[in-house]
Amino acid sequence: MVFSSITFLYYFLPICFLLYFLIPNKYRNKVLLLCSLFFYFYGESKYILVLIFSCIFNHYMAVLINKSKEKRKLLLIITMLIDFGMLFYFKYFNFALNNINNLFKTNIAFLEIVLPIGISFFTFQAASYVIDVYKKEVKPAKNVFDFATYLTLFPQLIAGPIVRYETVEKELKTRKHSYEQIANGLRRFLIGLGKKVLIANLLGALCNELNALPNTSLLSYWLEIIAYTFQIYYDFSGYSDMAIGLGQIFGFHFLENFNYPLISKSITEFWRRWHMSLSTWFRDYIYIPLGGNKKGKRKQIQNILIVWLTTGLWHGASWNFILWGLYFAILLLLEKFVWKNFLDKHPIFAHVSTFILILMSFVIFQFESLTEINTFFQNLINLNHLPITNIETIFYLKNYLVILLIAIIGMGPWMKNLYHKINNHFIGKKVLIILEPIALMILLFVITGFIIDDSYNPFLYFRF
Amino acid sequence: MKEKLTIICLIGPMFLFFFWGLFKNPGEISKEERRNLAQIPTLKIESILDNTYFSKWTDYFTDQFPLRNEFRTIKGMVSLNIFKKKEENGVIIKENSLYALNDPLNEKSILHFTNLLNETLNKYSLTNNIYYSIIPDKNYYLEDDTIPRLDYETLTALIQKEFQEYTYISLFDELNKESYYQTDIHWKQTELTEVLKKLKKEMHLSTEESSYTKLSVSPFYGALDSRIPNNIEAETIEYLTNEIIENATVYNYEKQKFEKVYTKENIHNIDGYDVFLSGASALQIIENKNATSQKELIVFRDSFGSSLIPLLIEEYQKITVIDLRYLSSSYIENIEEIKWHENQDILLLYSVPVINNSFALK
Repeated sequence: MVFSSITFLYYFLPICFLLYFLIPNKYRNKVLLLCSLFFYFYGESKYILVLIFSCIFNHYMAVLINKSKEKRKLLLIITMLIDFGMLFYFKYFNFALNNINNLFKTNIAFLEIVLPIGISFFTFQAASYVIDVYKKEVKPAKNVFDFATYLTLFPQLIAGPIVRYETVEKELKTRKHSYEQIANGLRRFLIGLGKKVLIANLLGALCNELNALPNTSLLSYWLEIIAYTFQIYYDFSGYSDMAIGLGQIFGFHFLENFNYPLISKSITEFWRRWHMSLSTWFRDYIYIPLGGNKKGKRKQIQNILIVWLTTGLWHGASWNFILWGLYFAILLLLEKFVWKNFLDKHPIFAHVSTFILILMSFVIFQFESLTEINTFFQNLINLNHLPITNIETIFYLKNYLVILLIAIIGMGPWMKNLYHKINNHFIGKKVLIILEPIALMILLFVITGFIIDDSYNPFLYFRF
Repeated sequence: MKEKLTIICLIGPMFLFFFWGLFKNPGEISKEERRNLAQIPTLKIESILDNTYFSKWTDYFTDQFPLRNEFRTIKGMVSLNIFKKKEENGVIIKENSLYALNDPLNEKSILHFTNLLNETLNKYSLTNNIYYSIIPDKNYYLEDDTIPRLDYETLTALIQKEFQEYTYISLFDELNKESYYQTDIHWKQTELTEVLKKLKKEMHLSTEESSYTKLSVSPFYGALDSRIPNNIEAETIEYLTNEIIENATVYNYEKQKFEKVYTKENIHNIDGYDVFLSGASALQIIENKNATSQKELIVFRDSFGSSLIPLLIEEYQKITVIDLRYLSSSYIENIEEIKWHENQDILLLYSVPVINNSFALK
């Protein structure tokens, strides 16, 4: 089930809300667990058993690791092999097979495997939990139900963020609910939903229209990659907002996942602001265990390359994602060892060049075929002598101009700062008491209209 | 205070529409969207396993949502007035008329169209006169160089290249933007005088102008009307009739029954244009018992043909009307009612939108 659907907004969420708040406190985790399992079953019925297996297996392995004194490492290795083995089977098996076929000119038949939605998220969460138990950084969950509640929690189950057990450990046992928290959660959820439905989906439609143009132009390629970058940003950060908001409604405080990454002054900063739960996961569970930057420059370069190749691969089983990871690894290395000082001294150049480098990264992210990536890059620098613009490009630019402007304004914290400024003002605060809830309700109705009438509402996480 | 108000303003509507949706009688069709609405799916183990069961529930909840049309209007208003979009659901408003944006020229589709008709006609080694016309959509007459335009010249040239054996009758100069309904893609029958003259001349039919009585039926809301919020008033369908048309019989092969050339009541159908020849049908046989000529006509057509064909009835004893969107070309030879002989004209009458999206033709 996706958040941007009538089913979720007007059926699942009210029922879940009703059950959760009507039932005594001690049963609330079980209500959340049941709701989360139904949430997953609704969208991915066939693979509900994979999710349940992951809950039971990881819980009991963590318990065993915690109890064991001598076989802790072995148990950890077995757990990781099974967790990542499952992820490999579902996500990478056919990709590996395809490469073997290409490399050795064999013709081994592919398996009919459908990727279970959210498997990368729940595998990474489960792995981080078991590793944290192994490192004695967290205690194992009290029982399998509590752990399953954590792992399957529907706000973050299929599209992240990757929530660490330590973040919600206390709240799984006891958490407070207040009108303020519920209202803040609802507001955050709705803003995220608006980002997804009103900005990301519309810019996604623009990309499709530009992609289908029979007559392209230099401007149409730039417009497409800008729209695509915004689409991905507003879709991913919108989902994170929705997850954080839903978590708040039910008493959980997830960590922030996006912090205005598109206004970064360097790629290093970009990755501190973009999908933070993923980058910190790779930092804490791969980069640092490999030695990080503590074992000399050569080892550090090697570690950075490993981390970014795996980060790329996490986004999808395809060579373009590996290339995407490698692209960032090279940029990060160059920043670290070559031009960091230059960027620090020239902030405007740093902003502009970082934004352009981010745009280029999404050319690699967008197309699976290396030929398509190559052609797109060629057209961005007009090697194919396209006209600068044409009627079609101008039409679509005008058609989506306001949405693009909204997307540009939303790149930075300016609207948020303005809101806080108004809210801190004596009169502004009073006006917002009435105006804000009404504005949010209108936003809910507008979003509902777009969901009902929309033909383009993609779920971009299907390959994660 | 603000927190409680926020909860009431957001959770309130969620619960309101939850209960409303739960107790609301599900509708069967949406006249505005011209389609059947999703119904409660039947539970089958296979449909759960292949994820179609719950996906159908999602369609059901979305289609049956209370105030669905009002929410669609909100979306349209926001798109046009706040987001300042130039189109809504692929439709633009220009000079108080609605235009569906053309898809980009699809050469594969054009070739599919020409190949299909060539293969169909080649099966019968015909020596008849075969004519074809391309019906321009009203965007052709839109004088606005800021709106993407289909390459009509290439489309026509591609078809002419593939239909070299047949006689082309160009209708592009016989129409103008007033020839079409404001809220629909179709042409008006009463504006087809020049088209008819040209067809009759090129097909060597009588050049005498026929006399008709003009009748009308309303209200007509075209196919584009509900795709974009607009202030255009309901239109009227005017149609031309005379004794010959009134006395002609229309046999509907699918329904296995006789119908009239015009059915006024069909103005209330999902598609009000069904007034003409009862709308979309796989095969119809029109017989003119008062015909002076022994000639027959076979027309391969889309919905534009429905309003033109009645005006050709008096020229023929029998008109066989075939719509390849609903009748597979490979099945034609099995139908006894379709008879091929030499004293027949054959007319291929297709509009640009269908030619450019012809994969529905079988």
